[in-house]
Amino acid sequence: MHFVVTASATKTGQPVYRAPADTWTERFDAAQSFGERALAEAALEAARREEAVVCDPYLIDAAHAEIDGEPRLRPVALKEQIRADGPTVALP
Amino acid sequence: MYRYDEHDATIIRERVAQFHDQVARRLSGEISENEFKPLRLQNGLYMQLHAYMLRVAVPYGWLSSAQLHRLAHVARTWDKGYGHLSTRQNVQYNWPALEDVPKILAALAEVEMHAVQTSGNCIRNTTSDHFAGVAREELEDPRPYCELIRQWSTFHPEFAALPRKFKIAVTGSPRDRAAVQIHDIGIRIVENEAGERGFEILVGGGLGRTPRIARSIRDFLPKADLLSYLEAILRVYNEQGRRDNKYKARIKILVDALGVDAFREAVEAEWAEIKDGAMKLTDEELARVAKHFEPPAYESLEGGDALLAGKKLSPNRRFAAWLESNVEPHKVPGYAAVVITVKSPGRPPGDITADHMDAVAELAERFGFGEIVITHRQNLCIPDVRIDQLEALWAELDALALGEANYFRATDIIACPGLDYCSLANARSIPVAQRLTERLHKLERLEGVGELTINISGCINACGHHHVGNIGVLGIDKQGEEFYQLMLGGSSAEDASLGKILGPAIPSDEIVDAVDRVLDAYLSLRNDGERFLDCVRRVGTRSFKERVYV
Repeated sequence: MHFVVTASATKTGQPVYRAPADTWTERFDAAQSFGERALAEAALEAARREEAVVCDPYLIDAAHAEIDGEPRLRPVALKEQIRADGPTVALP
Repeated sequence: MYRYDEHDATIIRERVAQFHDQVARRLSGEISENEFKPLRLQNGLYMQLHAYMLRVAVPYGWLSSAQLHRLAHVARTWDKGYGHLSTRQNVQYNWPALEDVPKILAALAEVEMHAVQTSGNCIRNTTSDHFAGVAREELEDPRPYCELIRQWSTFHPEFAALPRKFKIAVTGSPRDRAAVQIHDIGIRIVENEAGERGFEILVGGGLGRTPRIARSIRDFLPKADLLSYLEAILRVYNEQGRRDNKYKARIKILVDALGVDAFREAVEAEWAEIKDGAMKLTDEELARVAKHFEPPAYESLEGGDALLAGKKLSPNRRFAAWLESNVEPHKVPGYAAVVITVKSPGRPPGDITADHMDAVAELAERFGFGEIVITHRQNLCIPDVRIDQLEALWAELDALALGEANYFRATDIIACPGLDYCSLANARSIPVAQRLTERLHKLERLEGVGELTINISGCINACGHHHVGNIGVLGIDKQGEEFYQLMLGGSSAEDASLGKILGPAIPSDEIVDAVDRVLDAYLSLRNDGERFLDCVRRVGTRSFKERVYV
């Protein structure tokens, strides 16, 4: 199991993910993943100090899944998959 | 309709300025999300899965065409070109950026709209019958009383931090289209034996984890005492309602805990202290508010019912079906009320594009008196249309793909935003509604089944009112997979009832077939002319269960 730090961007409310070099990305596949919970917790603690930029950071579970023949990291929970990909229905 | 006075305009203008400042401080990092959250919620701003969500109040669902045009402008300028009609007759935007919200609120304030008290533990927007003022069987127009409640409850300092959110609905008609029995307080306009008009007061209705049908605590309340009696109920709730557990904090739990008789006694004791005070409604005050709801300038027309009956024989079957399902008799001869359902294949229930908002506003100006109502079932209504202009109106609606003949039919589905948008949901609602609509869309199927409501919620919080759908669908998460529980026999009308669970939850890819089997069972079990709901009540759920779980 892998862990990823996520939050909502303060400006837009859009899901964002902790990326290397203490940055944030809107792309899940550019997120930094942690193989150990302790490291993820430390990254989460650091993220909590950036509350001007993001709201309510938390950890999510991620795992590798084969997509288009390639192993890619994906959120485990359906809710987080939808957060990462957008609504599963077309906008009107 | 009600127009703001200087007092209304000032407090809304001031609120916009305050929120502008609060947003600036949040964006600069001066205040944290924890500090900002209660401030944004007081202005209807939620955080959802993909973005902020802004809920705009539409008092008792009533809009002028200018207001609907403005809502379209907001959707186009600061959102993604559409809005969502909620079951509490409000409008929601799913994608506003935080820095734009003060601009949106300023634009809304120019047309006498706001987002105050559309969130948080306060008294929310009072809802009502979308045929208020025009329904033929109506005893009295409920809107003046809704407006009095709006004025009393807006920024009421004593009720700004209730144990939990609080919802009030009012109907003036014996046919309940406002779902008053599933509200914290439901109000029915009634007449006593002396022929005086007043109110029956119901309390403790609600859905969510602990669904309850409201119980009557007063058969007859004189009009003059409306606000003092509501104040007494709110005081009892505010003082005794639980604050230690949000799932036990609604008034229905308090009514359960005390028992309805003890709750009534507590309210009556509180009311005795305040009933003859400043909240007594004088005839002048009632008249002041009622003046805003005087009927428009109707023409004297003849041949109303006969004309409508004749049109239902039209060789244009789709138009005839629309007349049958979407057109309601009006109290003024020669007129009808028209429901424009925004439910058709491929469209998320309740979502409406900015272009459609503008188009409906223009149609309301041309075919009505420039007024539009948002309905509890997430549709729109033009309340005053000449019967001799119905065909012309339908032709224009049909050209806009808004002429669907399905009001109160199986495809007029209530659905919450579900897991596609909502941070609380466990399962998706919109795709299920879309797949069901696709399956049931054929006119023959809809006509064959007749009056039937399907309500879908994506979690136990029940924003899609699944407990009171004739067919209720509740999304649940079973070890990471979406399953759906079916309920039968619910109603939010005057014959309100809670649906009964039919059996084990059904996988997502089987739920549409299961609903289809429910309808097949109904068609084989029903008596001549028997509604789905009446059939379920007569035969019970067992006969359906045998046919669904094959």
